[in-house]
Amino acid sequence: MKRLFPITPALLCLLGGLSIAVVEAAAPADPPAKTEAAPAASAAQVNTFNRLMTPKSDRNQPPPLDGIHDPEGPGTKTLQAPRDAFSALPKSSGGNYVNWVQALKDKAINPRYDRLNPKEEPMIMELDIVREVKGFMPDVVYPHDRHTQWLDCSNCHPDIFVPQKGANTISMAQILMGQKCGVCHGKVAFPVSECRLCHSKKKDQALLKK
Amino acid sequence: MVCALGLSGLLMAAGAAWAAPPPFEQKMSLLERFLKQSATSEQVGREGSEALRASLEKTRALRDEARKLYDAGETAMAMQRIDQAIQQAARLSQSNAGPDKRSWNQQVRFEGLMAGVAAFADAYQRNLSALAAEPNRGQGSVPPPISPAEIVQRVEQAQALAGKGDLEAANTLLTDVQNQLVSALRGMLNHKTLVHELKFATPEHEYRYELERFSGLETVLNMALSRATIDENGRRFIQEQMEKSRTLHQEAERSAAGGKFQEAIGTLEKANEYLSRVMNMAGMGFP
Ligand code: HEC
Ligand code: HEC
Ligand code: HEC
Repeated sequence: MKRLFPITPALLCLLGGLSIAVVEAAAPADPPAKTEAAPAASAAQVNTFNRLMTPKSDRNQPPPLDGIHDPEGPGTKTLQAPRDAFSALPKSSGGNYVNWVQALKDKAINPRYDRLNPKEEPMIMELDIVREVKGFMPDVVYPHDRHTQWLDCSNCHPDIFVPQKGANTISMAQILMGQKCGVCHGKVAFPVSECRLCHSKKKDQALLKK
Repeated sequence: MVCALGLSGLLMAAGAAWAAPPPFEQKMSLLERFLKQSATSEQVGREGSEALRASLEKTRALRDEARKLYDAGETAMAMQRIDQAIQQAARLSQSNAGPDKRSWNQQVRFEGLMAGVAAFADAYQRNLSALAAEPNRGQGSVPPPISPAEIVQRVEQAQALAGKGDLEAANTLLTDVQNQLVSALRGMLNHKTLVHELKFATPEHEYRYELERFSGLETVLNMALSRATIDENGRRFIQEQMEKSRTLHQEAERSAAGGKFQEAIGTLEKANEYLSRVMNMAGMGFP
């Protein structure tokens, strides 16, 4: 899953003259075969990027019908349908109904960390970042470990998040619109409907009453 | 040119970069560079197949559309469009399997690595200082030695290589620097929990926070409404609720204009509660 994301920021730092330009670009090393959404359909992207929030009956469609793979592609029909593929994996209550964190932990899946190098191992970092939330909603705990098992630091830093606690503004609206955590959550990781997975740190009741 | 800049200079440079041009303009400039200067676009324009030319045209059209949207203040949509344009450009240079494909990928990688190294060097420096200030520094958590001077020297070396066109060697060097920084950071931060407290410096800051929530929620809702299949009754109800929240928002704006921020915050919180409830109606899964 290394370099899963095409977005790469570019920093041209000319140290000599100290003139700085930052260029952020989305240039996939391996562009997906899929055709992108037609611009005309873009006025209402919320449910499009939150594709895992489609009605339960419509989820995990076979590849030719899932809206992700090219139905005309010669390989599409040979892919295993997710409903079969997922049947032996630990279940969850949302998204594509697989608890991927558990699946990895149980070794029910054994994903390659690097597409080209089967021996490459992830560099796991165990650092939790807690982001306090106003009111009664439990605080958000962002766990590095459960991300770095699959992802490279550069999938998030510095393009999606500056690596500094609190330096990034994050809101639910942004997440729903496919930004920040929503770059993945709702698309390739569990969707926004699973509040408690992110909002996992209960507030001190005594403090709340104050 | 030999550059006598210390790590802090590099870090300052990195810091300055975050405040630098808005992401849209950054992306636009990369795209323009591809369209105007790359061998791919030149070659495709000159001798490309019909399909490749159409693809190049599409990239240009997406760029123009992105610019229009951006100028009209539709930032989110403009960003989407520019991303599509850049993806189109990347695909184009992939399908045009000439030497240019390689250099485009290497160039993007180089720029990504430079940004990564700058950001992680900054985090490294910050955490080093924080660790030094801790009263009882954990014995087990001594970071692996990595000399700031060495980082700067290697970054300069990589830039010199890139300047000579040897992006591959530059990238190998930068990858190595980045890996060292990452393992140093892991050494310092592993098994820790950092808490970002939500504290507002003034009531006005808190008001701005609620205001941002309000406009964010409203944007998402409008997007959802324009597409979700909700029956007439549901739609009417949602619109009523949104109307109420807008009234509250206006009321809050009046209070804020009069400097009564506490009051404004309370009113806006209510407006946001309405909107959150409506999210649920629109099938956005808000409880
Ligand atoms: C899935 C996204 C993601 C990945 C992958 C990721 N991080 Fe982070 N990282 C975050 C988020 C989110 C924060 C918190 C930012 C905030 O609070 O504004 C953060 C914060 C940090 C910080 C800041 C700590 C401080 O000093 O305040 C460091 C350092 C960091 N990450 C290093 C790494 C390293 C090294 C890796 C790879 C081993 C990595 N991260 C992988 C998302 C990610
Ligand atoms: C680059 C992609 C990416 C980004 C960005 C990202 N995540 Fe994740 N996240 C994942 C993946 C992949 C998983 C594991 C698969 C899954 O659980 O669906 C995961 C899992 C998690 C889990 C573990 C849930 C469990 O079952 O234990 C939490 C919590 C989480 N993410 C929170 C966040 C938060 C909060 C943010 C934003 C600050 C964020 N993530 C940003 C990709 C991402
Ligand atoms: C993928 C992780 C994730 C999921 C899932 C998630 N949240 Fe959040 N939420 C966040 C993050 C990150 C923040 C930002 C916290 C901050 O201000 O630093 C946040 C902030 C909030 C806030 C306060 C600010 C705002 O933007 O409104 C509320 C309220 C909230 N979430 C409610 C919810 C509810 C309700 C759900 C379930 C429907 C939910 N969240 C699901 C990550 C998540």
